[in-house]
Amino acid sequence: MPVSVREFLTLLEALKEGVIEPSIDEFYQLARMTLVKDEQHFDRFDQVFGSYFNGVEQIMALAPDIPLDWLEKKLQRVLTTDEKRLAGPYNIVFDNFSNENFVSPHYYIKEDLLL
Amino acid sequence: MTKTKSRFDGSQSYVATDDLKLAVNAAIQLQRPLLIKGEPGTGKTMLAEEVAAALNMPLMQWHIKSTTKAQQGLYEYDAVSRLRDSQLGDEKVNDIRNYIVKGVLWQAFEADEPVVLLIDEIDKADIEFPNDLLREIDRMEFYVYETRELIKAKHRPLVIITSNNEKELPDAFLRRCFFHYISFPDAGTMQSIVDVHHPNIKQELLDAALKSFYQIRSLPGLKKKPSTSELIDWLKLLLAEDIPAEALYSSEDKIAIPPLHGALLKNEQDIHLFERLVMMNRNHR
Repeated sequence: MPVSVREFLTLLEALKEGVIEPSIDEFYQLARMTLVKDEQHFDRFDQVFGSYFNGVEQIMALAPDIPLDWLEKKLQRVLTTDEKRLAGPYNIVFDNFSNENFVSPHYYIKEDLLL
Repeated sequence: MTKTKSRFDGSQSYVATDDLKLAVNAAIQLQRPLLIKGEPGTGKTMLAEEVAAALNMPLMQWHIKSTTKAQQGLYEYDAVSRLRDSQLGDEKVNDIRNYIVKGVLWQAFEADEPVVLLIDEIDKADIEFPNDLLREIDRMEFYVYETRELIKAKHRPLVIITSNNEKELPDAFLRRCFFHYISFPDAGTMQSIVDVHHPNIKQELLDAALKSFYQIRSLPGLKKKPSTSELIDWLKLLLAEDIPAEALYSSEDKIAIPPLHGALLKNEQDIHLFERLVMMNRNHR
């Protein structure tokens, strides 16, 4: 499938400009209109897109259910001190709280999907 | 150059699918040309008119023929009138500017407000035509050699280009455009398109008409499949002649010859083929 660098840059620019809502469907349409310039390549594009994004939608659908504190606690647990320093700009509150026994069944199910 | 900050959301008289709206809005926001392809009669040219009306921008149209040259969209130098004026001793002859005739692109570039520029049926022209416009469409400027001036667009026009796919377009040109293929509307979309044009049509008649329309379209071997605009015309005829819905009904899946089918099939070979198929169906009963 012929796709040039220029077309890829256009796609990135469009994403940066916020042309679309963050949804798989709109991204699919935007990617197709930017990268594919011949309707006979639509099928091939669909296959590639489908195999790459297979399963992503399910994670996107689950993601809003995860409370932010859980993610923060998870980070507190896994990051080293150096990494916490680097994460500084992202405004994550790190105290010295480190609970190795923090267990939530719900949490562990989600974890597999996320990481 | 200023940006046009508007969004297109379809209009009362034009049904746009979600991906078409997205394509138009991306073209507006990123200021890239939008290339529209699709079967004849799917409303490619209408789109530009509707976008212009919805965004309240003037529309400039450039209809391409097989003889159209890219230069004609920029400007033309009218050497013949200059020669005649020089023989008559007209004062005008000393200034070459009097003989430069502005083309559509020039007019779009120097307009005081952003415009919608429609380049209609670009595939009709020579294969080199789109390549000759690359710089103009990319940078929105061109050079007038006769007067040695550079014409730059005051506002970047929204360029909408349509193609019937009669010729391949050059890659370099395609790379600069957004591309949208208007696929033939499915029955649901078609229903809303018809509602826009014939709001008072009886549901029963419409259902029967749509059924036979899609049946005719699915016939193998038709030279020209009937399109949306032909369906709209046919419905208008059916309404004008006051034909009842029963006349359109066919038994089971057999195809009947619908009344006024000349509005849908425009080619005598297609009509013969269609009538033969219907006859064959009857004999099988």
